[in-house]
Amino acid sequence: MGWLDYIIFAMAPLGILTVIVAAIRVSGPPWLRAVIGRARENRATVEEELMSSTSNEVCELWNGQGVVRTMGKPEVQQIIYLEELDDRDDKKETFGLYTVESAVEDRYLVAKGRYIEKSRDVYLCIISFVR
Amino acid sequence: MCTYALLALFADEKVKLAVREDPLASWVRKLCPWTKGPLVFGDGKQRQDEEKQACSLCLKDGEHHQPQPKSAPNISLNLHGGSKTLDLCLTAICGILLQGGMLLFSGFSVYHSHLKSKFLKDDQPVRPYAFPIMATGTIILTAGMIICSAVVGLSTVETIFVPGENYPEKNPAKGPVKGPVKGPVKSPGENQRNKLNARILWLQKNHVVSDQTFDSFVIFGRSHLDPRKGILTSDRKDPDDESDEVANIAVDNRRKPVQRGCTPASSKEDTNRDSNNITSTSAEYPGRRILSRTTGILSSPNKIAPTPSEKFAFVGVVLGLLGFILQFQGLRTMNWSASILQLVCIALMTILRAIVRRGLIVAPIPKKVLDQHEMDWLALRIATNGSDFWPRNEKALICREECLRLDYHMGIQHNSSNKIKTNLSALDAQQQSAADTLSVPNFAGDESGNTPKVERQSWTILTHDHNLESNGAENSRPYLGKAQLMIKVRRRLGMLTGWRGKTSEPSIAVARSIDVAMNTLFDISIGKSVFYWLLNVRVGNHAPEYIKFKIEYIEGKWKADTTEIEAALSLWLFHIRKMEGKSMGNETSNTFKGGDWLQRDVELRRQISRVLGPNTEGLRGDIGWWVGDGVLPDNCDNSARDVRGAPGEFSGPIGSLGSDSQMQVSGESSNGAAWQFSIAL
Repeated sequence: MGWLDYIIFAMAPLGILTVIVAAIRVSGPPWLRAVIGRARENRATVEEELMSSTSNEVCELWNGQGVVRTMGKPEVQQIIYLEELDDRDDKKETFGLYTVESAVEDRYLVAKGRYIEKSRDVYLCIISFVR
Repeated sequence: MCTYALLALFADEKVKLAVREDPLASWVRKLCPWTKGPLVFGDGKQRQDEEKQACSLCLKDGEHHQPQPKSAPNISLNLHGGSKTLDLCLTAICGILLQGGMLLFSGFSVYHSHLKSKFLKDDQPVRPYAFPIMATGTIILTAGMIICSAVVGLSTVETIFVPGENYPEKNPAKGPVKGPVKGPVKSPGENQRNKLNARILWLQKNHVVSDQTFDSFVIFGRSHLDPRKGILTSDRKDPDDESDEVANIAVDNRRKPVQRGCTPASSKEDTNRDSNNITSTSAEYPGRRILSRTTGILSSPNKIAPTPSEKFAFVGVVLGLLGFILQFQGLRTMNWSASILQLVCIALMTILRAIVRRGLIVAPIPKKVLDQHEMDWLALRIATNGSDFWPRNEKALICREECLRLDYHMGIQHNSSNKIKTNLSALDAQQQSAADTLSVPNFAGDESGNTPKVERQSWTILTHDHNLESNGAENSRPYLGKAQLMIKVRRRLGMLTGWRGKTSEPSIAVARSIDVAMNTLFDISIGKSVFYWLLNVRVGNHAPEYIKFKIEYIEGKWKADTTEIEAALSLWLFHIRKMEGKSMGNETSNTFKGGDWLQRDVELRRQISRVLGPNTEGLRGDIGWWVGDGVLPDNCDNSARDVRGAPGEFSGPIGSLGSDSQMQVSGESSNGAAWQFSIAL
């Protein structure tokens, strides 16, 4: 999600109360959560319903019809195939198959924040302004 | 030697017990009369220790090669390439224009001298306070919405994995880049331009998560997204992360060494990120947060100071509610056209939002595979199709199967003399859904002119005397074909997933048995540090080819590679289970039509282990003594026919441990391999 997404969302908004409730559920203060009746809500439930992330509590799986988000520890493994590294004569015998972790370890991939740098700056600005 | 190696390979639990016992020495000597010198096996305790060590080594090895990711992989983010920035920009501009236009129009309708008289409220001019309230409300509402959605959006950290310094440049010529890439050769600036040519797939096991059952699938990402910009992950931001990094330093430091042990790279990044965070926060507010937190805790123990994101959310909520109420009141006091216009704007924006987010409905290309053999299926597919193994769409997978089934029917009519083909075809004809056919059928006729060659991806170890052919001391056959490639791909997949299946334990046992045998029989005085032994394998209907297993002499001991053996066993078991599923389909419908429902369960009937070795009196005697009375002498005629060696030298299975063997023989006899390896299921 970037700032463009937020603007798109905010112009002529449809689900005003929904997003207010969502914001409270995601990171509202406890008393506000109590106001909307979700004071004792599990964080994993919020993540499953509102966030784009996966963690050790929330996973994404294929149930035969679609990708579903569900809570729990899944037995699913992501494999990436890097065609440039597919070398049948390679001593390492990787066949271009990697997990993200092993590719990062071998420096074929490198992690980069997405929107994070910019967003963080704006975020910090707003926070300091709020204070 | 090879006999022993074979025996070791197929040793079941009882044989292993026998190996541990002292009489093994005489047994081995009988089997391998050429062994000289005392056979010292060491005492049992030592061997147990060794075994433990080996197991722990295996585990460590797995952990080392495959750092288990902490969180689940993110499928949906990687399915679609994300919306294009241009699309987003256009939609955002549209939104601003619509919302601004609505405000503008309302303003004109209220203040314009000419329009004023036409847009009335209750036959009177609109009250002067109506428009300011409405306009302020709309602006505040928009601000509140932006903040609220930002709160939700910023609650996750999205990371994109882009090509790193070792990532090779794209080769303009088609085909894989030759030679491994060594060292950083490019500057970071060039890396940015390097496009990632990555494809993503997910292997999903059959399992239950929060009371929902998920089947075994191999899920391919759509290839039309490739080359993609990068691989996305999204992680939840913990509430602590942003509020008190300072307070977290201690916790992180405590946590760090553990993480560093398993994932060196990521923990390094974590450290970097954390240190960044720490520096930024400590530079801004040195010690202030700790102070406020401590005072907060001291003043009221059950009240925690709100985190920035909580404040942020609170502001968003207040603005949103305030704006909502103001806008509503404003619209109420204005001419009906204003609220209708706002409604139209909402409708239009909803449509636009749906269009710009159309990527969310992209589905992957799923393929249901046999439970517990996801990696085997994928390995066969990759090894068969090379770098072109990616399915283009769902139909590519389904259509091929339909075509293949058709081929089999044709095969029955045209070439009934070919035993193997007919067998396969007959089996396949019964099959409701062909779940294991992989490659494009070759429609060119074979030598008989009519029958299409059917590329059937079965991977079977042939059990006849040819496996004993090589003396194994040397890698005498340089060419190793598809079968070996399949093992290697399967091994790589196993390494990446770190999954343990039915074959993991037996393969460790087999490797241990081989180690014991090698350490006992071969000293380094043999002069070689690497030892290969070969097995005959049939892939599909091709001619049998050899695969080799490596045993290395490391630090004074022979070590077999467990992962290779595991790969081979797993592939073989995959084939066996496929064949059995089909033959059982036949049998169930015919034999067990009555009330005998218990025997319909394949797994229940199939508690069987087989012992393999040269069919000599000596071995029979030995097995009778050491393995136990449970081994029944099996009918060897079946396999003896296919064996070209001298009678008495080797005749396939000599006995089976368990009760039922008929079904398996019937399923396999025409394949020339009259016995199977089966693990207690």
